[in-house]
Amino acid sequence: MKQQLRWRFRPSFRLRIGGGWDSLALSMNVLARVLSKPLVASPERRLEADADWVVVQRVQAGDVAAFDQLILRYRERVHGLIYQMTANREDAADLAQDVFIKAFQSIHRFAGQATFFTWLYRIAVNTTLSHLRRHRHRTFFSLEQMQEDGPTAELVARLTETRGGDRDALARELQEKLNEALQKLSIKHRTVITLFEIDGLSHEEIAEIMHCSVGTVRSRLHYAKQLMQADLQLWLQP
Amino acid sequence: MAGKLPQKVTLDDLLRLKRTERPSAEFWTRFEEELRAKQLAALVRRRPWWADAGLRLRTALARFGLPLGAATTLALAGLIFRAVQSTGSVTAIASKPGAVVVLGGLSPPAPLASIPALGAGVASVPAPVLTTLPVAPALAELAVSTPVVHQVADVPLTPWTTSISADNAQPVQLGSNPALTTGDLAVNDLTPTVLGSKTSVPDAATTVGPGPTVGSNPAPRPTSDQSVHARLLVALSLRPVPLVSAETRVLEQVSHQIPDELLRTATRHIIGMDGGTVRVRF
Repeated sequence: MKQQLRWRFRPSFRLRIGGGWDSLALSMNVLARVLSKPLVASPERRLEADADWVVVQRVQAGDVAAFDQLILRYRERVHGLIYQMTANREDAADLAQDVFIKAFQSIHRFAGQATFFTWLYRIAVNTTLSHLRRHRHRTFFSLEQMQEDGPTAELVARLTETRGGDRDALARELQEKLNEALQKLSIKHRTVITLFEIDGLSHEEIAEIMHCSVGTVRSRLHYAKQLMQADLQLWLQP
Repeated sequence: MAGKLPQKVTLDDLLRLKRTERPSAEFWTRFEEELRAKQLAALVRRRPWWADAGLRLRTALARFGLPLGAATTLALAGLIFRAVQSTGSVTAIASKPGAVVVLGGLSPPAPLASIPALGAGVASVPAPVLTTLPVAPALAELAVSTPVVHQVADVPLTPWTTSISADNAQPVQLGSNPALTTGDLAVNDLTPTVLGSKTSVPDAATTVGPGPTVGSNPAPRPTSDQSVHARLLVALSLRPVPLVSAETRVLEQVSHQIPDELLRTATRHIIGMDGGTVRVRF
């Protein structure tokens, strides 16, 4: 059966290309180069990616201490991503450390086809997903303290004014409800909404990190938002 | 103040609250310390064997590939050399028309007294049996009919050129010393080898001792091929005859003196089984 398929496949392919297997190899190389082009959303992200690439090259050349710059640059984002997905600060700290160790151990394989940020996020997402799948039945919140800034303070003040009660208690209750609604989502939907709404990544970057299409990302994002809106209906009422 | 606030709280507003859940500065200090410890542990920790089994296999093949081939070639060459040494002498001799093979260890020794040409002084000497494989009939007849002197020791030989070895292509010069005896011929202590095994031929000199010499009755100088053959047969009948060339005999002795354990040790060392490695790079 395989032989028959191969026999049928070859003549049509040669006719279509017309240049033999050399032309096919050339076309595939061009296609691979286009597909491997890093997806950089904004000029700021491009500058960041260039700076990261310089540091990565130093690390690959043997300057191990240069990896500390990458840790300092991305530790909060990586930890935030993992924390939002696990809702457990101890697990988030351990997993974030594991992510940086994995990145350090395999940085010699990083060839610069994607940005370092995307590559690091992919490691973080995969590590977190495997952790969540291992501890699927364990739901234990260990939440961080909310560091309120201007907009969030206004939001809490408005909710307190609408619903009444103690401000701090209401803020704590809202935080728990938010985490509960997030944890009710599936792992993939939670990942998409965390990357898009909390970390601020683009659809293309999320698609690259999660190895799926942009349409899939949009679909998952829409569905996750619908679920969360239904779950937080009481808090969304004016 | 309240009038400026938006009327409806959206999901994006609530999710923005999630961004404010950040750890404190002390957390990052502890985080960094733990990360350092984990990095050191990761550097020390050994990876499981299956993690890099492919890499190890490739490394092992690259490491042992060429030396193993070289060691195999060397071992094969050694085996072929030894096999040629053990069989080559017989085949080489048998291929020559005038070759004589001494089979003293295979057939019962015949007393020299049974040979009519022997003298009384050596009647009790167990002589090696001469078996002529492709010997010319005339030469065989000479061995019996020619009245030659069979002397065990101290037989003076005239300084003419004679052929001792089976291959007559390279005649051996016995030297110009007229007092050269058959005892001198036994200096090399060469034992005939038949089919790779050493045959123990009793040394006539030690068995009989000094017998009556014929020094006072020197053999006449041969004037024909017949007398040369006769003297050759005298020498062949009195002492073990080296049947192969000198170079082959030396190589044979060396190959027999190399013990098998030494060969195995050398081979093991070359292929690196005892910890030592040999790397050949081009």
